[in-house]
Amino acid sequence: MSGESQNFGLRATQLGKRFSSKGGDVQALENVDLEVKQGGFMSIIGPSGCGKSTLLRAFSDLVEPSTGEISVNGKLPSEARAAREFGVVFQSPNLLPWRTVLRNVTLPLQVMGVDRQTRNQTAQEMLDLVGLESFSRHHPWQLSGGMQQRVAIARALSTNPSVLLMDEPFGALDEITRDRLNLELMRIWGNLSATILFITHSITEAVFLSSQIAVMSSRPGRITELIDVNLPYPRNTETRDLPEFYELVIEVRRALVEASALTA
Amino acid sequence: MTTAESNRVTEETDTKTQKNLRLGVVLTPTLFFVAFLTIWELAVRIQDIQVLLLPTPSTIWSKFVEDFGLLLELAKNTGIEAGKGVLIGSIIAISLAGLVHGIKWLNQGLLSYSSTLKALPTVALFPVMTVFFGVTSKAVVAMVSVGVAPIMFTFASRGFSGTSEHDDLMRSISANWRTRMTALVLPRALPYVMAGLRTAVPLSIIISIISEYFGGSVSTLGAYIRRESTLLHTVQVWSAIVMACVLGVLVFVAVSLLDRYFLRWHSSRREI
Repeated sequence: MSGESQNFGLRATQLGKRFSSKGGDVQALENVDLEVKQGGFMSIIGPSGCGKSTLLRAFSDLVEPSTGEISVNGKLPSEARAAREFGVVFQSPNLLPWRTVLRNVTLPLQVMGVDRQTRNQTAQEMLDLVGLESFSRHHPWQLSGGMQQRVAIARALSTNPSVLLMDEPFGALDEITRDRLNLELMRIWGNLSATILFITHSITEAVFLSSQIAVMSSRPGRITELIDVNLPYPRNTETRDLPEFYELVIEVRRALVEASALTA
Repeated sequence: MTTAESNRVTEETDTKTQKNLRLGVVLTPTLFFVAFLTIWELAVRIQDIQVLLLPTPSTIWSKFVEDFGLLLELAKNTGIEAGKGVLIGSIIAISLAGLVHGIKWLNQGLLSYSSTLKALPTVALFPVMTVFFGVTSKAVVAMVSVGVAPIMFTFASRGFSGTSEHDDLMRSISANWRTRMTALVLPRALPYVMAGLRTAVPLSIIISIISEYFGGSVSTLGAYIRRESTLLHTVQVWSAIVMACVLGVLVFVAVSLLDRYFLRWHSSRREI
C-alpha cells in the first residue's frame, strides 16, 4: 500500500464481487470506487439488493472480493481485523442471548485477552456512553430493540476501533427511536472521531448523519453518485429544520430515482 | 423510567395470572388422582377382589411405607445405572456430533442412522449386551447408553448445525476456536441438548428397569419386580412400581430444574 492511502479510513478501488449459485452468477458489486477519509462519515444508500451490505461485508472481511482492491486504514481487511481496527454493528443487534448486557460488551475484549477487571471497566464506560449504564446486568431479552442496538454499538466501540462499519443498524426500529439514536450516534461520533461507513435506506437518516453520501444502483451494484453533505456540525435536532437539509433530501431522492431508473 | 414501571406492572399482573394457572395445574390433577384412588379402593373392597390379583391402594401404600428403606436402595441402584448410562451415552453422542458437525456428508449419514435407531426397540438388544458385559450392572448401563445415544446425537447435531449472524460477529472480532466454542457454539447447542435430555432421562429409567427384568444386579427395581412377581407377591410388585414412578418423576423434575437454570436466558422461558 502506498503512503498516500494511509489518509483513507476506507478505500475500495475497482471493487467487484460475483456470487455463484445454482441459478446462475450474480454480480453483486461492479467497479466500485470509494474513498472515506479518516474521521469521515460516509453513508451508502440504495435500493434493497444493490450490494451495499456486500460492500460493507467486504470491508469487514466477511466477504472476499472477486476483483479490485480494498483497504481499511491502508491495510487489507484481514490485517485490519486482526489488528482490531474496526468494529462492526450488524442489522440485528446480534447480542448473545445467554450473556448479560455487560458480558456482551466485554466479548471483543475477552477475545483480545484483556483481564476481567479492565474489560468490565471498559465495558461499563461504553455502556455509559450509550446511556445504558444501569442495564449492565440485564439479559438482552429484557431490553427494547433500540436499547439492544445501543448495546451492539457499545460492543463495537469497546476495543476503541478507529473505523466503525454499520450495516443498517437502525433499519428495524421505529422512526422516533431511530431519530433519537441518530442524535446519539452523532454525539458519540463527535467524541471519538472515528471513520464510519453507514448503510441505510433512509434518505433523512443518511443526510442527517453523513459528511458524504454514496448512492448505489442494483444489478450490478455500483456507485452512481457521490453527494457531499455540507451541513454544519455538531448535528442536532435543529439540523433537521434547516432548508439545506431539505434540499439535500430532495437531491438524494432524485439521485436514488435516477439510480433505480438505470436498473429498470 | 416510565417504560420500566409499566413493565413491572405487567409483570405483576402476569405473575398473578400465573399463580392462578399454577394452582389449576396442581389442583385439577390432584383431585383426579384422589378420585381415581378412591374408586380403585372401593371397587376392590366391594367386589372383594383377591389381593393376589389387585391389591387396594391402601395395602400398596402401607407396603410401600414398610419396605421404604429397601425400595429406596433398589431405586438408588437403578437410578445410578440409568444415570451412568445417560452420562456415557450423552458424552459419546455430543462429542461425536461436535466432531462431525463440520463434515456434512458424515453428519448426514450418522443422522439417518440415529433417526432410525431412535425408532427401533433397542432394549431387545439386552441379551447381546449380556454377551459382551456378562449379566451385570455394566450390561444395563451399556444398554441405557445405546438407547440414549441416538436421541442425544440427533438433538446435539441439530444444536451444532445452527448458524446465525453470531458467526459473523465471532469472525469480525477475530475470536479464536476456544472462545467461539465456549461463547457461541456450546451455549447455542444447549437448548437442544436439554430438549434431548428431557426425552432421554425418563427413557433411561424405563430402559434400566426393563433390562433389569432380564438380569444384571440383583438389588435393583427391575430385578426385584420380576423376582416378586414370580413369587406372586403382588403387593411387593406394586410397591416397587410406585417407587419406580417416584423415581421417574424425580428425574424428570431434576432435568426440568436444570433446564430452567441453564436456559434462564432463553426466549421461551422468559416468564421464569
